[in-house]
Amino acid sequence: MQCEACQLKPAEMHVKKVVDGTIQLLHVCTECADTNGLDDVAPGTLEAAQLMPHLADELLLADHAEEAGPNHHCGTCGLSTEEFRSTGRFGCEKCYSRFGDALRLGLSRMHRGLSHVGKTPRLAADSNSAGSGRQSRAGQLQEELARAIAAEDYERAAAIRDRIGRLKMTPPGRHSGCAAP
Amino acid sequence: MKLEMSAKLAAQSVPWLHEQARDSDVVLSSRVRLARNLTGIPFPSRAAQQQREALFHDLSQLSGALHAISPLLVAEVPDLSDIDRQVFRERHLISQKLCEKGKGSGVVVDDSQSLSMILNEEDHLRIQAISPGLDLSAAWRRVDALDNELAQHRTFAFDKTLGYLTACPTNVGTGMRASAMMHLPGLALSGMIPRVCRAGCQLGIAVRGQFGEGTEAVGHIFQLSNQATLGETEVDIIARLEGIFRQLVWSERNARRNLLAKRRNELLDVVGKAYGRLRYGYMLSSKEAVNQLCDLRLGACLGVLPGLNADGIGDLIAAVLPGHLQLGAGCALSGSERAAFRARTIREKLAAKGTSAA
Repeated sequence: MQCEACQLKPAEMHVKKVVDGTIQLLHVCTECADTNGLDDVAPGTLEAAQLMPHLADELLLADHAEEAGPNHHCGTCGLSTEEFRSTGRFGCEKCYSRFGDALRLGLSRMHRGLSHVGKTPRLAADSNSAGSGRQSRAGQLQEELARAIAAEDYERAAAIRDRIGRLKMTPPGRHSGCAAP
Repeated sequence: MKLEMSAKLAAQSVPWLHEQARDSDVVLSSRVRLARNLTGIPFPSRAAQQQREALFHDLSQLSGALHAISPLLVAEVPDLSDIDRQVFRERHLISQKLCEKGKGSGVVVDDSQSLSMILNEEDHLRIQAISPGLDLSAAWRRVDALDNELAQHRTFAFDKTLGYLTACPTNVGTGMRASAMMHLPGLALSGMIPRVCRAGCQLGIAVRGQFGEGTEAVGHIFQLSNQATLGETEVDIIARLEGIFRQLVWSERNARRNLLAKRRNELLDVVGKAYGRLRYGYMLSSKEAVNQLCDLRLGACLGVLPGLNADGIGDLIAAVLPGHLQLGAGCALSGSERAAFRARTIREKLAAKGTSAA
């Protein structure tokens, strides 16, 4: 088999590449692979997200065919069902409510439930600088503690541990919504 | 040739390749990224050019005033040369997808080079942190702090049921993808990778090799990440992943010990031949170089090559990728010139290390 890029040398590498959302198998020689950046070590060439167009059909379920029909458009950004099917990407935040009902079951299959339980912008903004400063300070101290223990400097380790204890005792100014693990 | 941007980066070695980091014999790096969009503006694919440019300007300006990030550089895609783009990609600071964008898309890189804000790729904003070894919590703390600070200044697209709204429904909810880059030669040589992939699938973890699926992983390096972003808190996702990754580290070490005990000659052959090709080769493609350097890394981690430790092998892997290699050469090179220059770089490095294969 000949290299598909230069048509000269024998193809030695068979790589999968996502081109415009579809997976293509490319047969190339090592030099062309090198030139085209097909053999760099950046992983994640085939992100699950890039397979979205294939999943879009499954997402927009048949029993919502009318609602998700080809002539259905998002009133805000104008994205049509057809466009969503071809790219697997939404055009704006309002698309979620436009296409939302049709999406529900698909999303529940893809994720672990249908409700967001993680951090929220309000809690994020409320975790005032004192709180997050405290958090990062505690993190820093933990790292210092680990280093002191590794260096067998137990006197220093004890002092750092006491400082962490004091930091934890002082009540935060405001509730921080997203504590670090 | 204008190489200001990547030269600025290369002044510092790749920050997430530390051989002394936690579990670094198996885990090269841990990465956490958050996808965010500003409310009231269409996602980048539907936004007007003017909107994208205004957003880039706005967020890159804002980044200069934040505490959680101190920008080393702000780069808009058209400002980056081809080699710059490769170097940025090899350092995992930007994606191929971002490189395909034009004005209004770009990146803000923190002083540490392990924290960055990617602007107007698929979403308005991606916040990403990388830490060496297995330490997702450290990476999470950094993206969380930056996200908190940004939330005080800008309003993100958010729905109380669906969470953070993202261009791709696979990211909706937390918008968080947490991943580890793992070196799994022990499991690969024992034929266990298909089992790892199957187990990962059952646990909601995507396992990707170099070119995506399963077996074609260059250097037996795999990237593992969470699939679901909705229905679990960020902290829970990270705790779950760290638990599973720790198990996998244990399995990999076990597999390496097993190989050493039961198939010692086979293992030494892999490591020894890798050393031979690297030490005496005159033409090396980047794929071949990475493969052999990873085998050498395995030998160093197991201590089967006298005088050879893992120190510097990680840096060498980064240095021989096409972008870094050409940056080191100071000019653009053709494919065969690269292969020769790469082989020379490695020969000299290994000669300097003064190692003799067992």
